[in-house]
Amino acid sequence: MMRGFAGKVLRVDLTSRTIHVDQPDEEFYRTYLGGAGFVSYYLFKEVPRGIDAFDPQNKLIFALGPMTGLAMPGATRNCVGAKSPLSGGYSKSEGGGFFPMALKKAGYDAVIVEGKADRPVYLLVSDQKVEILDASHLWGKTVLETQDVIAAELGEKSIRTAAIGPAGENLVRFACIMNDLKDAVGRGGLGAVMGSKNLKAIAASGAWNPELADPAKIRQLTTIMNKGYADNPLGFAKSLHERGTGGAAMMLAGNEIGNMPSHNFGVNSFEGTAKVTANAVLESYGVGMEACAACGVRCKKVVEISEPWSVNRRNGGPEYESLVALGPLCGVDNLASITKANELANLYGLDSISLGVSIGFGMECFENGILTTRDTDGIELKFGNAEAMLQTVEMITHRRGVGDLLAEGTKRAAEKLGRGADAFAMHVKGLEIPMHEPRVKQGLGLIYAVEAQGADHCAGMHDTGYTMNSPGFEHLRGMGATRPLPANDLSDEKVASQKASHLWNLFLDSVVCCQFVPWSVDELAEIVRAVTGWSYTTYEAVRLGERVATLGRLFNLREGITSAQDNLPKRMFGPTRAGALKSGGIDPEKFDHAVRTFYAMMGWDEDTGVPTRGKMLELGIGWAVEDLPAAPPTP
Amino acid sequence: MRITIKMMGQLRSLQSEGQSTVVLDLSPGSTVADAIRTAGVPDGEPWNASVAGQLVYAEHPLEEGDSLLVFAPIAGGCKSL
Repeated sequence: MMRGFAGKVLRVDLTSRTIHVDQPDEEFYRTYLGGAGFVSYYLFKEVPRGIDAFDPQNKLIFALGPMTGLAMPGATRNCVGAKSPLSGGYSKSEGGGFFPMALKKAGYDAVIVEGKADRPVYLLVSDQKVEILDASHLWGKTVLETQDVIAAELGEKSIRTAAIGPAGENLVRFACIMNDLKDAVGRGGLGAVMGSKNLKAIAASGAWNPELADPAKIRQLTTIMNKGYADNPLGFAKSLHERGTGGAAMMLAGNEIGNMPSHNFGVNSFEGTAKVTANAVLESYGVGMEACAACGVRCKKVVEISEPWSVNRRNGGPEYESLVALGPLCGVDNLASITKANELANLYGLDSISLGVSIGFGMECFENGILTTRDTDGIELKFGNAEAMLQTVEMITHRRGVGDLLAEGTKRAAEKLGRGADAFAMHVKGLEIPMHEPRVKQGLGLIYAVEAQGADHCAGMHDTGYTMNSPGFEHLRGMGATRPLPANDLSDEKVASQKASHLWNLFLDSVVCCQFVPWSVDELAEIVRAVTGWSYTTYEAVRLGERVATLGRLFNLREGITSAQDNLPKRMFGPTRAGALKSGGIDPEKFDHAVRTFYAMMGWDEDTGVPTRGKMLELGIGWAVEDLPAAPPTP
Repeated sequence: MRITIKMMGQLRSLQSEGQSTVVLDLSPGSTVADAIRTAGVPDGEPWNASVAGQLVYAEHPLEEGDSLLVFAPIAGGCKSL
């Protein structure tokens, strides 16, 4: 009997309203492990080539991992994947909270949602039953309202939800899925895919627990992490415990070195940075800190505001990405408005990164005359206008006026506008760039470019963190990193280190484990061994990362997304208008060389980025060779 | 050679008496690493540093009057500024 997993994958076809349970064999679990591994397998294997992301044939995959559901720090996460409505390609995203644990306790390792319901529904998944229930009364409701109504009508205290808000219903292309109330499965527009299926929520509950191969080892590692995370040299958990992300020291230092994206990446320092830090949030509006299930790191801010805008403490406080995307990136230093916009993103189910970048794009278009007050219903959509930023959040969510355009994401919005608007669209493959400046963290910029889903700040090494020997870098050496190098280095050695970090992150996303809890790769391999009884090694973790990345690339190639899209916006190759980066951006020749080197190191063709047959066979995905392009794709 | 060194975040606690900014008197030709060691940061403690908005590394030579900003390579929201 397999240990650590339920051994069951739930399939729900919303068109035919049929429910089926697959029981993959243990070899499948060993090969793909969970989370991102499952997502990459099922997307490539089952999503037909060329369909629209909103076609009922698209599949929405909620995947757990061997760690999910354990009462361990960092263990309560899931990975969700689908064909992305932003990129038209591979997409996956992870979230925390409590929902992932509830889904595991319902007794499933993954839920694959297929088809489209003929009216709004939600899905109940418990250890007793699986039901498709009417959600007509929930359509139009916020995430908070949705959770409260579902909990009341199911009458179970242990019920946990993953839900969309109005943004997902309205097919805003960067709508997200909210685990519980404040934990976003944020990136890639997966909430819009859920909305396209008329699926408002999944409600999960149960009391099932997997049999573990070595429960004493799990208890021992849990105790070590809970007692020692604050002093663990691999991460920064102590500071996360104190203030979450976005601390003043980090943001003000970032402001000094050009790592404070502002004015839509046009200026990379911001006068008002000190007003919008985590410290400022907690001093002004904080009422405490909270945790995901069973996690002592407790990195989530709880905030409350009564005026000028009310913010309900149940809806969560802003993380670093939200603070900057809705703040400096839009030229806004009004902390109350940023905190309110963050709450709206959680209530409406919007990815706060893509939301802020899309508004910043709109502001730059407005300031350059591409949009005018005739387009914005009279709103002066200028950088720094906090009220306009908030109004635009509402307009995007409900696709009103210019919001209907910006709800398409920056890539499509720029294409529709023309007149040079593409110069202001800060995305990779349609996914908006996170709040980590690729001109400062140039190796991370490489990962933004080559990652299958587009610009993802959780997919590579943040170069500024690894410029000298440290326990953190020593840890990455165990995955193949070379030596510490300057943040703007793009040498072959840096590429090798970024590859190592990329694979580490994909392993984490498959386990599925939080990046903020400082588990080492050896400890995570030990956890997999203790859960499953397998002789799992770090070598297998590296191979898994390669497998996930390669399947994501194959998915994109099948959709016509080629190496030409493995790039950054032109803006990143030039200077900012002011700030530390005004002397210049990324060297395009060095960047192109780094992309080609990354391909070669991954076992992909250096010119086309197409995975080689040998690498696919080595990774145990020879079954996908027949799907390789017959001829090299034209960049 | 006099330089100003400012510590941010958790590194500030490593500096003598926890002051955020101190002036150091260093011999000509001193590097960033020399300054940070002199300021009380123990060997092996990771840091980032910048001068005039540009990231600088251990062997970067300092000049009279430089203002050196030193901060943690990775940090969340620690209490110290």
